[in-house]
Amino acid sequence: MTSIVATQTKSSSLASVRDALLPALLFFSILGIWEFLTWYTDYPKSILPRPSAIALAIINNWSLLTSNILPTASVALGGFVIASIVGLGLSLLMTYSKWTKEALYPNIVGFQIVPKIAWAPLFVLWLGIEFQSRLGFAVFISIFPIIISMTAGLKNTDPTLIRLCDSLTASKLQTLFLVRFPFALPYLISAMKMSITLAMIGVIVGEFITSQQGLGFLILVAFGKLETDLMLASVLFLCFVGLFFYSLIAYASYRLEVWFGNK
Amino acid sequence: MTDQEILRADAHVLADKVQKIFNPGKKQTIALESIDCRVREGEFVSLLGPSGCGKSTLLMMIAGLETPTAGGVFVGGKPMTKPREDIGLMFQDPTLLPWKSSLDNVLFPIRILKRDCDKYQKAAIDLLTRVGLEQFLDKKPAQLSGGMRQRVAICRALVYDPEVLLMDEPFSALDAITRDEMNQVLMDLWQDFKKTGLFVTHSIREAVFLSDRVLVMSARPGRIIEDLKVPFERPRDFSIVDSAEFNEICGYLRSKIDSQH
Repeated sequence: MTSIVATQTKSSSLASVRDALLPALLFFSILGIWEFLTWYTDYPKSILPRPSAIALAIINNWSLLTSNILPTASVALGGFVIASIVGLGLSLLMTYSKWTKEALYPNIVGFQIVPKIAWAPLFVLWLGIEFQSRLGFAVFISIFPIIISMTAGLKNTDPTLIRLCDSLTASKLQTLFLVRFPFALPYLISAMKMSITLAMIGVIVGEFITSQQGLGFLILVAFGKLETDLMLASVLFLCFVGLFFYSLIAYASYRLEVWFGNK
Repeated sequence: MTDQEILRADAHVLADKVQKIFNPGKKQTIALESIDCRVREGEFVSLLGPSGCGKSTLLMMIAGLETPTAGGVFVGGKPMTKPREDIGLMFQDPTLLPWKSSLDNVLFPIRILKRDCDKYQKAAIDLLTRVGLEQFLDKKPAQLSGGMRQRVAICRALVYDPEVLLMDEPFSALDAITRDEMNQVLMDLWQDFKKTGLFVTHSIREAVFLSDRVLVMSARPGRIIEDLKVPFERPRDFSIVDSAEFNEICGYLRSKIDSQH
């Protein structure tokens, strides 16, 4: 019996090493092939710089790149937080007021279908060229998944459990905080994973249009000077920022699953 | 005292000419047609009937979660218009909170009723120990078996000391062996807690084993077609289900239910 358990633990830890190794191996193989090909062909480096050139660009422009992280990351995070709070509020409102839901929900779903990027220039027109327009646009594009998932989550609470609360003379507020909200939390977490990514997109698009700072702005500046290695370095930094936010939420969701007793 | 007051005083739970119609109008469904049902204080009564006969609907009306279309429901002499804290409820599903331990799930009603959780902690642990879960106080529902979860649900229904316990097919989702076990657990608990009980089931054996009285309901629209007193002394041991008398009673009830078809 013990030996079976031991083998299982061993193979599962092996499997997790493999899970991490396999994608990394693929990633670095592609970089390697890319590097190799650029050495043996004379493809212009302004079109496709080799990975080593990008690495060099990161070293040479280190302070420029790092100083542009904060303007992008802070606005994206701010937009995401506002979208989460407002989205949560709206879905609560729709859960408890049938009229609000009937009036609002079809509009939200309809709006969700419209390509939201198209609205970006209008936000600049309305909110100006400072960070407010980017923040506003980030909220606008990242709020939809929060509202839609959270409304679904609050609706999906086990109806028998709600009956139990009713039979115990629970107030609506008690049922919300003790039962409905905890039940909807996994929905909220998965919506947040989507939402933070969209908030990043919103800010970058905003920076493309007006900004004087940020990683999106840096990409445009490098584009103007045909410094493709710097462009790709900025993209890489954006990946890191996105990954950082995503892992924060993933960690929160893991803690939540532990609390829920699923893990 | 008027006649009606006398009628109410005698019964702890009373359903008086209760009728329930869903979707009144052209497409209406008559779930219950003039049901009279009374349970005295400390009595355990089972409502036995085919599925869809409206027995759960009757139970929900007694719990104050549904309103009758006509007639009246009284508990402790007072009409039931909304849920009250002197009534406990158990469902087919244990409906535990998945993120809470057994102990916290048992204390859930105490939190809802805004009573002092510390004061009830000991009562909750005693109840869980009583049903054999003393090793599982801090385990979450996902770590418990189906029978264990339903044991937690029984403790939760008893912890705040309601006078009436309403049970809606609480063991019907369990396997046969666990179900027999749970019948014995409930029987033993009843010996100590002496509530007024109303138990909905479609298992004849379960109804006879647990009850002082069995009410048989007809198929929809539900009416009560038999009111049978079960003669066995309490506390009962599950071995009585093998006795000739027990099986004779079951056979009689079976024939009553079959006479419907």
